[in-house]
Amino acid sequence: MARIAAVAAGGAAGTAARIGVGELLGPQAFPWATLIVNVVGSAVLGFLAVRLLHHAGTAGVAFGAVGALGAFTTFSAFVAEVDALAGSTATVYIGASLLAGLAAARLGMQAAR
Amino acid sequence: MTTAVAIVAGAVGAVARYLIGAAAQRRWPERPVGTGIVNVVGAGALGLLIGADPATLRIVGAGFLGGFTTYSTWMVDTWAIAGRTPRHRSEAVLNVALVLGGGMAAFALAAALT
Repeated sequence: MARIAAVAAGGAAGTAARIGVGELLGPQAFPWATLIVNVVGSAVLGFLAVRLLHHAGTAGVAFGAVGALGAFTTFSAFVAEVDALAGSTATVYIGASLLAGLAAARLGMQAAR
Repeated sequence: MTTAVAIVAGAVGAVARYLIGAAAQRRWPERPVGTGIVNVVGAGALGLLIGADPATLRIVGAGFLGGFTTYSTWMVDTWAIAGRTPRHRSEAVLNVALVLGGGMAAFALAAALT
């Protein structure tokens, strides 16, 4: 129960931060806000995944990793934006999201070791 | 006000993702099935919201489904699979391809239905 409350609190914080980044950048032709939250969130989660490896199942992991970073980043908006973008821009967006997301997660994991 | 409700909806979405992830992990301990399920289902659900009013998009789309689906976990899960053994590399590539393809197909299918 404490873990569920921690996930909920983290989820609220992550959602608020994601919406905040979107408001800060305002309407854009290219989905920069989602790209930024997804790449930054992947780096931070990579770092936490290594650092908190031996704390799995604690309220801290539930808040930060599962709740906050899980909710800060978003897959559904990414897919909707890919669908809305035209041909080659959609390909660029997918490629940039995957390459930068995977690289960021890796860098975060290596920085934590 | 709409944004405050969206933030609460994001918390509910995160809890739903956590519960599905925990159940999936008991059943498939070796593979990140939970992350795949929430992302594909969440992308499909967002496809159903095409044409919805701005408040619904904000609360259910940016709030609930934004909190329910996750990009960072998908990325970190992929490296976790790849790091197991050299032969798991192809499984890691499959994890990227299946979730991306599944999510795009679910969104397009749902959008076509609405």
